Amino acid sequence: MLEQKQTSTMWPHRLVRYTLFGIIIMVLSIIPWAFGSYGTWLGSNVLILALFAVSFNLLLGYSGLLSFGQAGFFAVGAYVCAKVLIAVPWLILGLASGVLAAALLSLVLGCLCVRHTRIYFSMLTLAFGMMIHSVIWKWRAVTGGDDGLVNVPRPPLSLGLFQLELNNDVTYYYFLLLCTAIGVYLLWRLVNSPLGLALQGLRDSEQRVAFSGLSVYRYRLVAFTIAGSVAGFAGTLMVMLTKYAYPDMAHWTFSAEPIMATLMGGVSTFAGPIVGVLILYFAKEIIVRFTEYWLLLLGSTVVVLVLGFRGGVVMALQQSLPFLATPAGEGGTGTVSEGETNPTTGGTRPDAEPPPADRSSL
Amino acid sequence: MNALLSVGGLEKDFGGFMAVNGVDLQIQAGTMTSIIGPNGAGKTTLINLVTGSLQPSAGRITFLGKDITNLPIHQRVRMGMSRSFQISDILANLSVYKNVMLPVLARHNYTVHPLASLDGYPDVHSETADILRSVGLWNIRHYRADELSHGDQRLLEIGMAVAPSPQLCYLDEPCAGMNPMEHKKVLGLIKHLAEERNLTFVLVEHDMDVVFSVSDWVVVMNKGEVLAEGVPDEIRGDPIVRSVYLGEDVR
Repeated sequence: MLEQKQTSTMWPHRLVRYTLFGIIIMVLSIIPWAFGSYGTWLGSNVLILALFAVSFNLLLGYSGLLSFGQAGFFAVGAYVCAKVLIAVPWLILGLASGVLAAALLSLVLGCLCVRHTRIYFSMLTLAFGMMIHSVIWKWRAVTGGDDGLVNVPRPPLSLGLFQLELNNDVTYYYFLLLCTAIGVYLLWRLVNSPLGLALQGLRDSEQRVAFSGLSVYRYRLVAFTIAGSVAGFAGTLMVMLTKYAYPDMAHWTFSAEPIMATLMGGVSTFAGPIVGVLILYFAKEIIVRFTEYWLLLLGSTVVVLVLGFRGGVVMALQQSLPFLATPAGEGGTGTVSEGETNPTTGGTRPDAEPPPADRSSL
Repeated sequence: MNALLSVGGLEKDFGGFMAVNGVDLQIQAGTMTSIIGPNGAGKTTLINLVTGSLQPSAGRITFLGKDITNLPIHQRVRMGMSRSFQISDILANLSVYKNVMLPVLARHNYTVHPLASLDGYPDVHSETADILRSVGLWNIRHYRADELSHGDQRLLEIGMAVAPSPQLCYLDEPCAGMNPMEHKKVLGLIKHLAEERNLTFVLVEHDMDVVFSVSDWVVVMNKGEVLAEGVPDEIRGDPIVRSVYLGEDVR
């Protein structure tokens, strides 16, 4: 029996969510206007890193896989895009080839990595990530070695007759905002889709997913490939921002950034990695003004946040503002007649309210 | 009657220890079968072999007339076989509702949809609601699975086991850790599900009393071998079974 009332009871939460999404986009779009060129540059970095971190959390928070090699796919996207753009300054081609290269590589490496879980998976991704780094470092003829690839052009966005010059950093910022918003929105749809539910099942119990009739290996591989492709996409956006591809993009220390951001913001929430990237960047910016030992202070900040807000800052926010936390996409609330008897345990139970926070909220 | 499942010469060697040692067994459709035996008799290992969690060292497993000895777990589930676990294996961070919804979505092949909303799929929602109502968890469907009491987690196990709409379903000690009152209710539920869903259950039990009342057929295992099988009354009177299994525990 389909619960007819569910759509009407679901709406307010959706409204809250879309309003929030709209407000965030509006706040982000006044940054160049309010904070000048430095703010624009910082904002651009945060946007790219936010997309990178959300794609990373598709693995950690939603599929239960801790990857230390996501920077490798980020760098592959960046380098391939740079090579293509230097040869043919055509934006869409550069973007597409970068994403495609990252997708193919994450598919191939994923086949080897997702056979294992936990620490074995993490170590394999670390090893493959660092292999990508060494290839970039040593293959001087193609990658420029430690010099990297310089003078990467940022061609205009041309769609048929419509053409948008991106060489201006403010325009590029808005382009980034658009790309990140689309990317984050699609990932949001993904984690709330049937596929997303299967991935969350994997996180909680792969045995149970197998006994639901799904191939654990195949679904993990899908998650790994999607995360790798989005990381590659973030890489292409980055290389066009800095106009420079450098080997450190593939280093494991860069893989650690989304990990730190996710741990601070909240691994079990969708918005956690985004908030984490914001905290990470602002902490960096502020601390670096006062001391050269900024890494020490940054490290302490991470420790305090991770220990102080178990489950992340976003989770803590949700607990204090309950309207932000609602389970998404299950049978409606309040549709059962009150005190329906439970045939097995005999007793009557009050209808569940308020629903406990599901891990997939916000 | 045709056998739903037949097992021939099944062996599992754990480095010299024969957990399952040459088991021949047939499960008839529509017959509530119980596998009983003392601890370490190989009951759970047998289920692990039949469902694909373990690979046998020797022997053949045939389900619905097809050899499934080397099929992976998920393909056996697709053919119509499912199970519950002795130690509850639930999706702890998801709601009760989503726990049951996932296998239903999987059976309809909807889990390949990457961008669709879970609010769609009216067929899945009605099936999920049916299952939750049968096992009596509908009223607490929004609770996170790890917030349920032990007894409710056992019920959720059963709900998740029937959710893939199997023909054959193994329940590994469904009453583990429950009191005698709850035993009765769970067994009643299992009987009800078997009739309602035209589903064949295989109960794996440690406690004989639990199964005699509901089973049509009882298989007794000891030390990796099938000691005896028959209708409950035969088994109760079987002298070998009494000496080996009941001897230590006559009531």
